Amino acid sequence: MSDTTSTGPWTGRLNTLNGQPKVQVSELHKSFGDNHVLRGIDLTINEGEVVAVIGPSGSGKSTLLRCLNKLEEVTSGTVSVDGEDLTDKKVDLDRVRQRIGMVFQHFNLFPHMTVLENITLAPIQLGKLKPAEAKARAIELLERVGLAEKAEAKPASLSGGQKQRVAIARALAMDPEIMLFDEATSALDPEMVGEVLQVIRGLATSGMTMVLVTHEMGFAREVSDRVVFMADGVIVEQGAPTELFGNPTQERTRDFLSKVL
Amino acid sequence: MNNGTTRARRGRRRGLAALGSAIALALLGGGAAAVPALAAEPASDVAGQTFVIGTDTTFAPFEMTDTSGELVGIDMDLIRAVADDQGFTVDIKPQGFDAAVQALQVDQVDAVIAGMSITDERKKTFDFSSAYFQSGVQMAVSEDSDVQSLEDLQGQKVAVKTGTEGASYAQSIANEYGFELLTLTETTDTYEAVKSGQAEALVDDYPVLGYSIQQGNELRTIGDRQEGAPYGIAVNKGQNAELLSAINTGLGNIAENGTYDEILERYLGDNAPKASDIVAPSTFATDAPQTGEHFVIGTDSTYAPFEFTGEDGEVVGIDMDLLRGIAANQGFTVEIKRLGFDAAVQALQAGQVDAVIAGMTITDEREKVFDFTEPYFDTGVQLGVLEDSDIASYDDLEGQTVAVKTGTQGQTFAESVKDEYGFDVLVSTDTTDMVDAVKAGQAVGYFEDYPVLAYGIAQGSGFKLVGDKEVGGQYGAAVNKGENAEFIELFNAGLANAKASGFYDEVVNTYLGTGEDEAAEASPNIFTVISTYWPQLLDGLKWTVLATLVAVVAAFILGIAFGFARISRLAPLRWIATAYVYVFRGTPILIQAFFIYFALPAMTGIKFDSFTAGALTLSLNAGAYMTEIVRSGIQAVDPGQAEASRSLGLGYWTTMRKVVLPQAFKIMIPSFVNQGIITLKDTSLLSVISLAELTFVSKQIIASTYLSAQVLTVVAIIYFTLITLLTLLANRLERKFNA
Repeated sequence: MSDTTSTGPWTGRLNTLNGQPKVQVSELHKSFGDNHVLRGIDLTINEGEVVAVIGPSGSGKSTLLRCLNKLEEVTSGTVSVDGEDLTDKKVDLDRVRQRIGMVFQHFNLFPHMTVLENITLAPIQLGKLKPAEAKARAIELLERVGLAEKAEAKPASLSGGQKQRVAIARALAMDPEIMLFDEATSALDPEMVGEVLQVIRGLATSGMTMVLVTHEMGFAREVSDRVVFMADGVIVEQGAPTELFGNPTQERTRDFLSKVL
Repeated sequence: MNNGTTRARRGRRRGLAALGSAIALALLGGGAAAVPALAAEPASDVAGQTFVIGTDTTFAPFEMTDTSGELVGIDMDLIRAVADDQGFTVDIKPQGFDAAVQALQVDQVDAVIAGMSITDERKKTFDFSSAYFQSGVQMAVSEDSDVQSLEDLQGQKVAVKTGTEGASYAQSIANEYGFELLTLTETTDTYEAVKSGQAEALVDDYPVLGYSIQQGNELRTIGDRQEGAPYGIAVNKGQNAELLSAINTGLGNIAENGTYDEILERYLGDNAPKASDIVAPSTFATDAPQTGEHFVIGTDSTYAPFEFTGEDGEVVGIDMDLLRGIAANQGFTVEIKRLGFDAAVQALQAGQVDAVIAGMTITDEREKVFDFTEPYFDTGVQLGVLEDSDIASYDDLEGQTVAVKTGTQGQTFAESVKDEYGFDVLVSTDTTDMVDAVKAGQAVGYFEDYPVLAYGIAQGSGFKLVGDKEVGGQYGAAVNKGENAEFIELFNAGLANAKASGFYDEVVNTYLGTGEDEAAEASPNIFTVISTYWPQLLDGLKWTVLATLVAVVAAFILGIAFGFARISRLAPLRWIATAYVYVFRGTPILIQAFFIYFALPAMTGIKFDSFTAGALTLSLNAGAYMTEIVRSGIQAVDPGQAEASRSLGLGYWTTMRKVVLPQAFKIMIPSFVNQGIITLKDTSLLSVISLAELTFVSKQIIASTYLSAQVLTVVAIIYFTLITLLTLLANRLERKFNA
């Protein structure tokens, strides 16, 4: 299966679009007990590229994303970031993760800390910034996501959209090179989806390498350089959004798109 | 005080004695003729009824469970035989000794048979059957112990079961032999204590010891057997007289027809005493067939309350009533000659009288010349002061003068303590002089035999007693050495019957009054219990709080350590922590306490005192629960929290410290508080290894006062108050933490 997907007509064109491969996944398998969730994934994400991963529920797209910063142990295969194999026991995962920001469906803000503390925790703890610098940087990020006035608020007092924007700011505080979005708008009330997408859109245009697992097909089409369609633990088809949405080559893809579009 | 030369002049106290005798006769209602107990008709009232009998769970050979699970033993076979004999049925409830006694008080059982000694203290609360066994306590050590005699116990520990004769005995000689007591709540624990080396020796009733050695317990008895109070079957005072009467009749019958002998032989083999020697006739019969024996008895002219002239000119008093009762009981006749003390003694030596009974102290000196009966009265010296005196204890005697009569025990005692308390002794040659010296202010008080003092006070002498009764001599009746052995035999047998039937107590109480007893019987309320026993309760509370504090702190540390181990990625750590939790959650805390206190020393040689063992048990037990609280608290934090933290590049421990634990602790607080309260309550279980915490203290108080309802109420209130205060404190902390 992986053979067909890795040699698509898009590869050469996209590689010329943006420089070096940033993330390389090969022959990735992941099982939870008897449940074989990922069945051999090969995927390359280039620097500055925005990749949207779509597919039906249970297709393994979130699991794939969580393997990229190794929140999930991989069963077999390799995940490399800047040439460093994360499955190698000798690699310092904490150091690699500092370069990979992640935004979760359920925000996962730390409820016992203020918004500001949420954002400054990692830079200060990891010695990346002095407390004063971290604070200044946090305010700057909060301004960027439009929440400067909420710096001293506790997460519980924020709306879903505000929480997710704080979560994005928290991830950005470590100046990551890659951002992973795991269904970042799925838990939001419809009227709040827009404000979060607005922030992500801004990030995409800034040249950040991004992988988005999303159900927002319109958004995926709009912001991504490439769309990956997954089903049953494999990548069925991938390509530029206009191609994949406009002219899908695989029956599974057509079937899925016909249901969601 | 019954020195011959001084006793001769007692006659001069006649004025006081005459007044006394008038009142005494009024009390007696019929003078010397009033002999309290008479033979009762055999009761058939209870035939066909069922009685609930409380007993101890294990007190071999009196009660124990045989291999088929049935409750057997001397007590059990005895009560069943008595029930058969009297046609009633018994429903036996093995509850443990203390619980059985408490159950009796609240009428949950009708009677208790549990190797229960008949004591004066208990007689205030219970009516007892005739004695059915004469026990006695003895010490025992491990077979291989170096201890050969009581002297070798210097600096050692002796295990006793709380509230038993053995405990009183050990207490009474602890100072003399320089050993410490280790007080435990179960007999089996005292044996465990010796086995494990927690104690060098134990004290137990000799039949129990004998039986246990016969069963292969590797023990050896040391020292002499101390004759203890006889065993009786108890019912509540003034209740169930029909049952008691039936029991006494049945007891007499089975002692007579050999049934009881069979029972005794079954359990004690060759050492079995003869039933007829220990079971007294069920009542103090005063209509025994005449033996034809006749004795001439010499006595003092006046020595109230033992002998003095009644209103109708006849001699009455404790000696006289007792002698007449025993004569009627044993079927002999007496002729009483009032000769004065010295004259009576001389008459005896000259063969003019057969015996003398005259408040005569048994001394080594006299035993060279006379044979004595068993002692029939324990006397002792006490201090008497005027009613309006400020003297409240010996300490108040500093710089004062105290009167004594020469050659008396009072003088001996006064001389022995005068330096310690700093008083002068004024020696009088006569009781009257001594009393007058006090009334005239030359002395603040005088030392006299307590029955004499007590009787005088009861008759309005204007004195009061100060301090405790000092140990004194024993009175016996005397015959010439080698002569009149029949009198001794008959007197002793009659005395035993008189004591067993209660006749003896009635006689003594008639003259010495029961003012003290009445005070004790006036049902004390909760406030009297608090005011009387507050220092003891407070001391118990101290240990409860201390054990709780130590355990809670230690358990917290253990809980954090093992809690992390439980969720560790390292399998061996997980196994160790899981095993710890399973062991300490999977066994009762009582077993853990026993194990740490008894088994561990036996296996490893490491000994703990009861506080260390208790605190260790609680810590380990609570630590297991804390481990689970910590583990589940950590696991209750949304895993997304750790993921978010790890995704930022923060390490495992930073994530724990900064993100997971602050949230986990918030979740754990109510469980911590709950566990703290449970631990506090669990301290009460440590009374089994003799940690003197609140429950232990309350058991001790109940054992000596029988005020279970009052004491338990007070103790429950103390626990409740303590726990409520802790809960309020915890709530405040929790609010602060959540703010």
